[in-house]
Amino acid sequence: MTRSTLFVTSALLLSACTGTIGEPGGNDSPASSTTGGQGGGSGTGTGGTTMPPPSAQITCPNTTSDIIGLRALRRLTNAELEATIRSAFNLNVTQWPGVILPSDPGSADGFTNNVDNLTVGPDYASGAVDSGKKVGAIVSADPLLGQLLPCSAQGGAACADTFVSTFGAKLYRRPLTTAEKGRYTALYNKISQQADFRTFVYWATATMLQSPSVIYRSEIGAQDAPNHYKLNAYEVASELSYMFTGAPPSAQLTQLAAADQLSTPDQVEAAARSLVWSGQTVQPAFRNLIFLFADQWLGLTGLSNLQKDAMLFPDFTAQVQDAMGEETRRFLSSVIMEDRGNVKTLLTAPYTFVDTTLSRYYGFGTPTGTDFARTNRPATWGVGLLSQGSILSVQANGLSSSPTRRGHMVRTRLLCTVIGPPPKVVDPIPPPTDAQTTRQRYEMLHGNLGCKACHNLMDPIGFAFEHLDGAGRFRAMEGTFDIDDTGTVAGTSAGDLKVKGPTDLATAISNLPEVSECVASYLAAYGLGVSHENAACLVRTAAAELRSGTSLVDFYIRMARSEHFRYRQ
Amino acid sequence: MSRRQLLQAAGVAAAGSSLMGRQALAAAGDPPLRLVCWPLMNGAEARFFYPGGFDATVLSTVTEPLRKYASLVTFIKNINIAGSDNHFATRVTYSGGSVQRYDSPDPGVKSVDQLIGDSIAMSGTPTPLHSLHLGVIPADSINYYMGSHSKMFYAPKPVDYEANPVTAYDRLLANSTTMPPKPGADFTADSLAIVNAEMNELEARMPGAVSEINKLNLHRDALKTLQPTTMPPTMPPTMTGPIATVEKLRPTLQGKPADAYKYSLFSDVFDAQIDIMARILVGGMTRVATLQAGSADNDLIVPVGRGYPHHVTSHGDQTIFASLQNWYYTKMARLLLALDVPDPLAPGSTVLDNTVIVIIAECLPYTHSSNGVPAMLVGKLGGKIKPGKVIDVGGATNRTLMSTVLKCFGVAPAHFGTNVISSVLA
Repeated sequence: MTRSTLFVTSALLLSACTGTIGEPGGNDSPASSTTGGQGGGSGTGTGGTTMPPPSAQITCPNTTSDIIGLRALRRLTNAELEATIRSAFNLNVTQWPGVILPSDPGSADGFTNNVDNLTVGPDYASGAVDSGKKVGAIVSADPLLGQLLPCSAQGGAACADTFVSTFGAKLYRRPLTTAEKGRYTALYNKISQQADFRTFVYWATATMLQSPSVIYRSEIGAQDAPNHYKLNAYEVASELSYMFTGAPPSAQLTQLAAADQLSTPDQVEAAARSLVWSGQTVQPAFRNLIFLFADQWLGLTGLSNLQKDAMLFPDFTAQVQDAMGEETRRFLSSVIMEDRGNVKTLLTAPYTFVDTTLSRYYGFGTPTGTDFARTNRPATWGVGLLSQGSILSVQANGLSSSPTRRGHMVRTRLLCTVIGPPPKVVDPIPPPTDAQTTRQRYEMLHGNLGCKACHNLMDPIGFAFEHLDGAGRFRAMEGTFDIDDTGTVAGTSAGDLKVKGPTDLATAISNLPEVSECVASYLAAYGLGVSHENAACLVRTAAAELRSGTSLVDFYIRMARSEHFRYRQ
Repeated sequence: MSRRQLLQAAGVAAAGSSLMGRQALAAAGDPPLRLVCWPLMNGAEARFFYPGGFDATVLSTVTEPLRKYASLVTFIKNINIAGSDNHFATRVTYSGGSVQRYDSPDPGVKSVDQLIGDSIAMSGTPTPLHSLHLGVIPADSINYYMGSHSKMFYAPKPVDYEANPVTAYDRLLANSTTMPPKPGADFTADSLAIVNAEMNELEARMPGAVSEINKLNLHRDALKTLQPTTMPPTMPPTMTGPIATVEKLRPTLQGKPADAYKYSLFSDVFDAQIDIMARILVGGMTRVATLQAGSADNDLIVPVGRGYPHHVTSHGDQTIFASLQNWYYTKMARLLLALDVPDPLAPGSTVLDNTVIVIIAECLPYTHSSNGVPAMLVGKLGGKIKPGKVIDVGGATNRTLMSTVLKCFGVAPAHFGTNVISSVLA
């Protein structure tokens, strides 16, 4: 069965399901924001047909080679814009607390940097104006102005030009054109007749921070053949910098652009590699960027606010939650960067990281001091990413584990199966009782014809985690019941996989080529700002290398070699 | 007297107030309370008007421009209009009367503003002006308006509105000189001109990139809607001398009442009327004001983006219509800012502290249902109201809301009935 037929069948049958998936203490619906946007709209109005908005993303053609994507203006995320402003004026958080803008909207993939979603509406524009003026006020005041622009004490047209050339280039990520500089010169001429030099700095700064050349990353290029556009070196430099560091190009990268040293695959890959590695050390900005990716890919952004029933999970404290987050960051850092692991490593690494808090909570590991220590997991506690306490806790309910949520996460994030949204009207799942195991409750609730078509894709995967409870800890029994942790991963390229327990599950799916392809598509989606479906065909060559065992970090770097990185259609 | 009700003197109002309750105003020692009635023509869909939960300070797509004053907001949910439906319900929202059809007679009862104005006039501290009624293109044209259409407030005859801010200013405030305002160090327009030029250059670089050109157009639209709100901080109306926004219109509108209905002047007239209202409320010339901006079935062009006709758009894409209503709230933000000044009548508080703005729609867009219409209060009214909540009134009517407002002012409920929304009260 193909992915598309899986979806169609599921959607049809889901519409008949009326008895599933909410549960006291937690929403069991896995489809809240992460199911690929395939579901029908929920509008009840009587208006006319709504056309989909124009998109900067393409539908992948049925080919095996890389294709290039469309020209795009990528609005900076709030974090990227803030980093750009801080970098330009060397502002710390004491000097400037940061932008106040509407939250970046999440995409169907859960990422907040999607090219189609990041637009400028009235609220954003209003916030950007306010931010611009606040930064303008800071920059135009002493002592900072004197430090940034020594000639400001005297002022004058030449100093105004210096300000625009110097800080404009930092904010625009390229030298300003003659026309752009001319407009600022005119602004200076007008202001200087009515006000002082600081007033010019204020308004010039406020204006630059509204500029489309600041707010958007230009990935437009110039036409070099019919329907074929070559990105210029500064565009490539910005693409590299934000993708690998989340910040504007460094002086070194800008110099490469100025020298037109970012035009070949080798040049771009070399630049990308320098943004990831400093000798044998991982660049901190890249490490943080991977953490941000993982948070959104795995739905971990809600970990710190996760609520569990205090009677059932009394030890699941805020301190434990924070420690779980750090555990996963250490794990990812170690697997992806220090060990340069591949997808199989990610899913089957036998170790994790615990500090004294987690050691006490989990009951394994013997860290010394206050820091985290790498520790092999006990044999029954699963392996790799999927057995991280953070993920198990997030993909669960407040009162119990959730085979549906856990299965859904594996399906959508590792197998890229498209699962339709749940029905609009569902009854809540009754709370756990002493009379049934979680598995029995789910099998009974989802066993009817209307539900099982979709839930058979998810729940039997989630059952394999049943020895790991709703707050990420091992349990030998569920109350007085034995736990059945056998499961099935249906419809894989290797057929229906029968598994028992989390280690077996992780090992089985780690060998599937579609898992590598899926992970590649999500990494590419995050890096390139498109949907994972679109991303998959932009980086097929690099994805093939990942499927063959290339490390995750090298895959990320290899994406910079793609035609899409330098050309658009 | 064609505009007699615009500038009703206290004595005139009192002479015709035999039907009004004689209950005292708020207790002695209460701050001087102000009322503003601000109808929201054509409403907005709930998903755009209300916050998701029960915290009013979260605001919403439509009301986001009130961000600075979010703590003063009370949303009223699930409120129905009694005695009417569709756009002609404009005549009952604040009057509590009954109007069954477009061609039904006027309700024949006093609207809430008149009852409160009457009460102030009869109090020990009457104001020089009974109440102030301003319009911003309150009808399709002045001829339509003169035919007594599109009116919403009653005493109990329809109260006139003044739609020409130059006329309103000259009648009410013209004793001061009319020197043109001095230019300030505000270069917003120059700044936006640079941004627009860069947008144009960027667009020229990517012919055929439909999605990205669309993105730039959205950005342009956002900047246009923003322009008015970027200006008020630099030009709130002062309490003396000419009002800049009025003087800007003087060459166009002085002695030309019909021209005040030109759609191209909508935003400028709006600003000027707000500035006039603010000065009058702050100074205490009256403590009751209404502002009718637009009319429910008129297609004046709301200057959002490329400009959208108000009524037609209410029947179409609700996202766009929400952005139009959002624009009206940028104007309300201007009023709030102007009222956020020390109250000369109550040292230690601001005028805004002592004010409530009552906002209610006559019906919903698209469906024209008058059940579940958007409604909200802005302000704490000298501590009479406890804002910050989204209150679900479960089908209570506009009469109950107006009765609640009357109670806050210490005025008898008259024909509005004795029910009140107690959760609004502090």
